[in-house]
Amino acid sequence: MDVPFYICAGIGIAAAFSVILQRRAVLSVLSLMVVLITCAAMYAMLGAHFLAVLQILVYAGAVMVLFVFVVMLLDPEILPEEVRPQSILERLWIFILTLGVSTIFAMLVWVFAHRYVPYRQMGADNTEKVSLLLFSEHIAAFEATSLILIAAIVGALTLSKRHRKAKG
Amino acid sequence: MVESFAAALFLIGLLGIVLRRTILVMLMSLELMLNAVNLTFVAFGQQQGLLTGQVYVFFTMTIAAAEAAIGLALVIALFRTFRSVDTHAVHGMRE
Repeated sequence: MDVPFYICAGIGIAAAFSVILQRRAVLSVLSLMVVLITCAAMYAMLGAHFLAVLQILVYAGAVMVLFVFVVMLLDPEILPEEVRPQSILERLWIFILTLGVSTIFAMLVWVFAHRYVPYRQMGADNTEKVSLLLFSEHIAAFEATSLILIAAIVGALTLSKRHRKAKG
Repeated sequence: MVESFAAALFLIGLLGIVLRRTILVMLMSLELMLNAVNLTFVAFGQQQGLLTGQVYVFFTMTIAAAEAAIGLALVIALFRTFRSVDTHAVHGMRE
């Protein structure tokens, strides 16, 4: 295809391997963030601008913050010996991952600005088209989504509530 | 091209679920696989000139967010019960 795609794909695959191979959970989360932003860039290259923005807001924003919070809650207790200061290798990893995020973001901006020549004709109304489809043909599923979110909120609260020896 | 990238992402996620025993990393691998499927939806939709794939991805993202919230709450509950997030430490049914 073209150069931005190959750069994004390379960084994405490398970061995906980094997700499953890192020892420290925080570095896994950071790598996963790189993969998610890579996916956002891919959406932008495919012309799905609405999903590209949604991917960054929902996935790289909200879901990743959840993961970071859970790592923050768990990590020092699971791995007490890991509380030591960061080694050179870990700092290098953080540097590389930050570099990856920056590259992908630059790529994303470049794709939005230059990739599609008839951007104003076919790219700019992507959000409008998707929304029209969403609120006409798929309105029932859209409403059902709110039920799923409510169920998820209630379920998460119930699961994470501390029981005081309720099983007796 | 995007489809092969998505396939690679899916396989890496599968590898992570099979190889790693930390439940947090397994959840992250699950997110990788979900994203691979989303990419495939958009790529094939683009190939066919349809926007329905993008609508489906919107729903998948919502459900994935709900799944992440529930999954992480389960991780917290699991950690409180077993003091570990290793899946091999979870043997409550065996006793």
